[in-house]
Amino acid sequence: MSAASQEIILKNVRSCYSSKREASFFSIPEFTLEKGAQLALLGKSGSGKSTLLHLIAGLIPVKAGRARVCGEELMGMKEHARDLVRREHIGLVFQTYQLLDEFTVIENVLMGSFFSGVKKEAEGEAKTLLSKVGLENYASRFPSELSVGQRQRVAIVRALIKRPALILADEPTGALDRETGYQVSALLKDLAKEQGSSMIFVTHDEELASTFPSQAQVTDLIRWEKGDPV
Amino acid sequence: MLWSRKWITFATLFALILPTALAVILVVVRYQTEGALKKDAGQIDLVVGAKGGAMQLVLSSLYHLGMPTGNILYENYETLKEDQRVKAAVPIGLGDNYDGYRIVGTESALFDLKDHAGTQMLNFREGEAFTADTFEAVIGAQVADLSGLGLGATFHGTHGLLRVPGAELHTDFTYRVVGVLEPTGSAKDRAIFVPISAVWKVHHAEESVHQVFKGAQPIVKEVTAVLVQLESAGLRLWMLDELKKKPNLMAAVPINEVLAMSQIYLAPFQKMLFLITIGVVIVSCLVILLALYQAIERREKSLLTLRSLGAKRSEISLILFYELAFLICSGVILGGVIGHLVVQVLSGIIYQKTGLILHAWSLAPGELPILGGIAGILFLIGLFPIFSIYRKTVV
Repeated sequence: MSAASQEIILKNVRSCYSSKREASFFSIPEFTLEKGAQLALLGKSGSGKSTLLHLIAGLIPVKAGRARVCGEELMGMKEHARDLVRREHIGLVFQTYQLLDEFTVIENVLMGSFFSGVKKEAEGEAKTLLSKVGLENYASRFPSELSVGQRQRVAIVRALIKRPALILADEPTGALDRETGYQVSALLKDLAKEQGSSMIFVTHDEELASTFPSQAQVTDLIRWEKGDPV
Repeated sequence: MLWSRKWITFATLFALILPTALAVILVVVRYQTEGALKKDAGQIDLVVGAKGGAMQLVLSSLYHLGMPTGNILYENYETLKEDQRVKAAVPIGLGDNYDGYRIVGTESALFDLKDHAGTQMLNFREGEAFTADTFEAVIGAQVADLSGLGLGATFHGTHGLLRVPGAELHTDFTYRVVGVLEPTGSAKDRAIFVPISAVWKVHHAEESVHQVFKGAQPIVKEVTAVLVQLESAGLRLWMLDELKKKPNLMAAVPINEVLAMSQIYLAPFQKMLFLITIGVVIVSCLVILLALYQAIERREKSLLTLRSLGAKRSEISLILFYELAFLICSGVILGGVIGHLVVQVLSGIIYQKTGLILHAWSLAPGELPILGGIAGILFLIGLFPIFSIYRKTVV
């Protein structure tokens, strides 16, 4: 498989995740994701699912190895350059939606493209996407006026508004009941497919994961190490 | 984003408005009062009167405040008027009041006085100057506005310089208003000008009643003070020394006395206000610092969400920077406007109490640098919380 057909190539990547108290070092021997692929990433809490997504999203630096994401090499890349990769190519969906309470639904959605500079047709695109997720009548509402399922749908639309090459969904169904969770994941899969976006969908629900074309266990991908390996 | 946190925004704005408005009030009132005081004093080179306190002489004859030092002979005025160094000399004779406004005996030359720039010092809103040896009166603008006297109105003087209940009313002599002056923003606005001969006649008659057993006495021609404009300001000290040597005369340079008065009486009051303003600025700075820290803490989640959407640290800082700039500029501009508004309200009260006209909406020298300084300090303080959010990482 050529590099051009891969959305993500991680090879012998080393990095660390720092908290206020300690730094945890990890390595990823090899991980690839084809363009347009949809992968369900499984793993228990604390196994490194979010850490892997943060690394791919450029939120934590790559200290060694090869890390090519959406055609950009993250190794040695400064923080502001990684910010640009994220804003141009990656759409993030969080477990707790992370909507901005002081903004309306449409404003929250437009915030997803605001920093990428996609502004001209963004409002029309936002309305189209909102109608696709059944929220066309909620554009001027505030997040506090929506149900949790509706909020997550807004977060999905926000991630998709800039038509990202890669969607990173960090347990987007974690706070939803089973039925809503399945609806939201189906919606996300359909919209990602429609836009041609690749996707990593983190979940601990094996049954839900089985609805994705491919699955992986995070423990098979990431190794936690003691001390600074770099 | 600011509107969504409107209460904290309004509280921060209030904390910005308060010190700015106070600083503006302080600077504008100080500048305007000094300007108004100097307006009276600056155009008259010397005040000549009976021996006594120089400040007392200036206050009584120029500002119509306090008691005069005594009287001097009209001949002294005539001598001064004839002096080649004197450009203009005007007598002032005090003794009576109407409703608390001093009746000032003088000559029509008062209305011809010009300032150092050659501009007429007094102008008529209505009517004209009085005729010598009559009981005609010209009233200042404040007298016209507040006492109810107008052109053609008649009134009687009351003995004494102040309004005292039961004071003797000079009912035998009726003054008639023939002129109303334009407001000058000086003490002249609260004076009633009459011919000096009228003052002599009233007091001669009064003394005749009191000393009836002594028989008829001739009118004594006296004046309380003489306002003198010199051909050159450089002659002030020369004439001051010369007049000091006369046994019954003294002279004072009004502007020197005003500056001394400002130093003695106004400076401590202004210093206190200045210290209060500094205190308010410091407290406001702390309030703003806390408010900004709290606001940023409450928004940390939102700001980090924006970072995860691809916003750079510098862009987030810029958003906060714009908000801070908007808040500070609005606060300082509003504070400035409110400060001037308060001066506008105060000017009405000050005019009624003192006759000083404060031009509430004119900028005082130093006002803009002070406002800029306050904005600068607040801006520097506001950078601390912005820097703290700049350093935060998303994960």
